[in-house]
Amino acid sequence: MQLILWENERLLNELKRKWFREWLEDRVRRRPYADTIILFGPITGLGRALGPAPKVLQLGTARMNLLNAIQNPTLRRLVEYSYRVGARIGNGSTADAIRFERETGILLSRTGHMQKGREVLSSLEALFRSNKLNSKDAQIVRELIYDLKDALK
Amino acid sequence: MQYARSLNEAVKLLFSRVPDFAEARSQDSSFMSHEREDSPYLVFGDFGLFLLQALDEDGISTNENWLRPSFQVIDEMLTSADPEVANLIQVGVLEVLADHPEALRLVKINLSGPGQEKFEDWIRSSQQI
Repeated sequence: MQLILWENERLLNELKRKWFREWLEDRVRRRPYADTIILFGPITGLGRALGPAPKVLQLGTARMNLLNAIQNPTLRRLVEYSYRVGARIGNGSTADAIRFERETGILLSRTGHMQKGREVLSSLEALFRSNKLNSKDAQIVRELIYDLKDALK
Repeated sequence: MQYARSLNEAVKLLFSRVPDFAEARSQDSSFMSHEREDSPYLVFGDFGLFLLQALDEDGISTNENWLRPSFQVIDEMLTSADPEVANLIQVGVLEVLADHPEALRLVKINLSGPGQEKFEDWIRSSQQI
């Protein structure tokens, strides 16, 4: 009986995930997906922030591309914390986890990712105000703030 | 920011049980939660990254003195009846370790029976998604 319930839940979640992908694509048009640099395209604009990447960067994940570009150590930690390599939702970011939870009603953890998103956003805003960032890092932070605000609004 | 008292207590618990982490965090301004004790998800995110650094090194330094109390904190919070506290460990720590199977394995084998059950529940639900 338990197995049947799990299987039903798995199928339902699979349907919701599929629906979420379609919703995301429809919402932002060619929404970036894991594995290419255009991952930072329409929503975050991070493709612009990173500039013309060397070919090797274009093969990376969102997380890898950002980490390759970032100089500030706190920003590096924030990206390591906010982007998962193996996540299956959107581009693996906390922002996409929040979007998924809000749109599907499925929580990806016990009580979800909203609070994490708010704290990361607050930290990014403080970092931006600190004037400790070079221009490229500042641009990345601006786009990350925009993306999280969009997810949390 | 206003948080449930339980999350602030979780932060205090972590600092008292794992002083190595508390000290590293207070001395290194690159930590996300440096001078931000009022942000439990940043504190536990830093803890997850701190833990990962130890578990992910070659030869895995499980002899570190602070690892045992770290696993105990994870165990206690994961099995907490307060869903916010359990969430803090799932999101702040386990998700940080999620892409490192060996680190996850080490955490799991150091949990209590109930802790391992909660850990498996989390693995199962995160794999479904």
